Amino acid sequence: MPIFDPTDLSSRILTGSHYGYSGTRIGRLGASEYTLVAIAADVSGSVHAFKAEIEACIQETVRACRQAPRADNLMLRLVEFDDSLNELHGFKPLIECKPADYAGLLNVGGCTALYDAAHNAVASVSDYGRDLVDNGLSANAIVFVITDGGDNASTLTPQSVREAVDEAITDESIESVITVLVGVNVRSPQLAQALMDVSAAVGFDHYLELDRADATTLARLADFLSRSIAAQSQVLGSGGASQVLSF
Amino acid sequence: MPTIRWRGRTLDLRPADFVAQGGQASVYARADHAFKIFTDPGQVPHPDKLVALRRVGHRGIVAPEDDLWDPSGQRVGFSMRLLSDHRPLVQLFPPSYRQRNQLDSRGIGERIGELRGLVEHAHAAGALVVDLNELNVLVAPDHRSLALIDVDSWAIAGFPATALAESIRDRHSTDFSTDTDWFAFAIISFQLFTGIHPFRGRHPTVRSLDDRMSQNLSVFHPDVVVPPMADLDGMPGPWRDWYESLFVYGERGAPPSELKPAPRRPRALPGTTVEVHGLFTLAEPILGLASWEGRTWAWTASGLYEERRRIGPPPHPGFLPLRSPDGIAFVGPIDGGGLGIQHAAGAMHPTELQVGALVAHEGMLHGRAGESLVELQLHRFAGQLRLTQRVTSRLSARATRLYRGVAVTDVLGSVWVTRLGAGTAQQLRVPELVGHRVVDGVHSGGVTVLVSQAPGASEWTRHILGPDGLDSTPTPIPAAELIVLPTGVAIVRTPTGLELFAPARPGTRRVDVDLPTELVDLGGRPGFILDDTAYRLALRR
Repeated sequence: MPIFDPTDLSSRILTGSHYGYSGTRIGRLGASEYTLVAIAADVSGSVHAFKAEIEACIQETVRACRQAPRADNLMLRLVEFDDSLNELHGFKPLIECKPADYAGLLNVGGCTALYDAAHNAVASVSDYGRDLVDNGLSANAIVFVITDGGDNASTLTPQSVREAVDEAITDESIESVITVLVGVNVRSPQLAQALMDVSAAVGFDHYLELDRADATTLARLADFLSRSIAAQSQVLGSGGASQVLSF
Repeated sequence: MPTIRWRGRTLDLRPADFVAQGGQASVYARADHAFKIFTDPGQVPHPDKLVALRRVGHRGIVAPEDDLWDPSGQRVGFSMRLLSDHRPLVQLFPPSYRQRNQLDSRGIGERIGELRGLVEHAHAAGALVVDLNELNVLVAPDHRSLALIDVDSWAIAGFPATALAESIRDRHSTDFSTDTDWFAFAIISFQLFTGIHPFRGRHPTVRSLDDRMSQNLSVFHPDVVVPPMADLDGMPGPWRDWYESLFVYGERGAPPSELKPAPRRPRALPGTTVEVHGLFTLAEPILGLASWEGRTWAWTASGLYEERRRIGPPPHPGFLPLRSPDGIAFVGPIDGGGLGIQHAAGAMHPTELQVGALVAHEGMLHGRAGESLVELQLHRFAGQLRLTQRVTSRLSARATRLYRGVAVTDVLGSVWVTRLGAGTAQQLRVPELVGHRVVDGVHSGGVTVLVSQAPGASEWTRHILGPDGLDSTPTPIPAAELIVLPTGVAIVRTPTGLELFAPARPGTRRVDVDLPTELVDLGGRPGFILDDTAYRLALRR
């Protein structure tokens, strides 16, 4: 009987990292331009209290993006990270992502390999985007790294992330890339400052700080994510400047 | 939230009325009207411009209607007709969307023709659309009509245009004219035909859209890499010539009038293991095809053919093919009740059999007679063809829907699938389908494929009912297509090609092929019809 065919996705290696990524084979894609969306979600032990809310946030983001006029021009990749990275799924057309599949998906525990995750998220959009462009497609990207704490487990450094961000920006393949660090449940000024410093050190475009991780706040985050994704998709091909919406 | 005066009434707009916000204005909606309220009242179009736009008058052009005023008496915007559930045209560009929504080249051609008519109407009224981009054209939920919005940005009656998207801007013109409108029309109609912006694809040295458009480096340029999903061959020939004249040679002008879509030629994608062979071509479009025992028949509007040889008139409307001792005959309802038998040569014989809901499959005919499911068969008796029926199932026929070789009964909270063979019926209870709306099914060679919609779901699920049980996967194609080869290998069509599996063995092989239409069974071999030609697919390991 038919089984899920892993040949739909091909695995790729990223230089300078233990971790690779996977993406839908280009021959299977059904549009000529894509906005690549990479979401890296922190699942370290401290996230346990609001794991369900984070999952609901991802579900709502997927649900909202599926309603967007350019839904067929979006691809989503989802990674969870604690001590290590776990790709929950590689780049696949968003229209094939079902919101229900994200319920109970995250596995919480461990420390926070923030730099490894950020590097992988950025490098993956850069690398896969280059592959798309080499095959005649157009692409831009938006990366969200969602965390509730600073790095304490990475093998890579902030400089490595910065180099990946610089490469994504300067590489002429993808038209534009937006990088957003989202601090969730940031209640102490020290953590807020630390995450702001991380965002600046790795060269992310934006740092968004949420002092809570309740359902209401994360629903607003889902709205922010989906609107930002839709806006970045709209920019693709128009030649206009990228923008991140206000939270 | 703003308070406005409209048609002598005061409206307190609520957050729930908000629709969208643009650079200059916000749009709210209530009942059948939308309200465009400008952030800066100084940006509200001049009243004379709105009057001129109202005179353009066309159902597909959403022109400003009445002025809106704020409580202090200042003009802040205008009302217009609300188009519920319409979506931007950009949604139709990706081939994946069109495939998922069964939007074929004929439907696309109709929308392009409609859009051309709207632009012609605007020009005839003395207006220029100018910002004819993919977001300013809305398409109805059923994809059967279009509407132009953002009409207040048009140029008319001496008032200039107020907006222009970079994606459709003519780099070779310094002012606006009907030519620049047709250039913008060309950009978006090209994307409807092909799925790609004409100045996309990868050029080795010139990267930006702006430079590509300035230098006429379109997808027609030999150095440009075009993505595999873009189909540059599906547009009518005169339109391709027109696009090339615009995008390659920098000429300008209105599009050609001929809009009959070119039949898309089949092609196996690079690196795949499918070969496409033409079987035969007739003088007019093939309407149906049947194949068994090594013989293949096709019919058109004017004749029945055994391959290229005409053997009789076309089947009577509503008549279905049935295996006959002579090869093929057709059976269907006749005036006054009963069924008629139409011989291949055209002779018609009435019968008194009362059988409805006929479905043809693999040379068999199944139908419903009273409370029973029956199979119809043709026999030669005393030199004449006789039509007989035999009961295959008595399972709640009125609660049963017949598909090709399979019946689905939904009764008293249980769902039964009945596999229909030659004189046989095997019934299986399938609890997984309880509550589902089954929309299509087919049974062949021991494999059953059903397509259903789960309760509350908007998408389709394909179920393959084989010896090991039910295997369900989402599908964008609300039709069950299955061919089982003589070797026992089953083939189903997917959005990206074909899926091959052997019911008794694990594993699936997928084959990419750009298959533009549904599979037909060529006697246990997959094929398809395109316009006037029948094709056979050969699968290679």
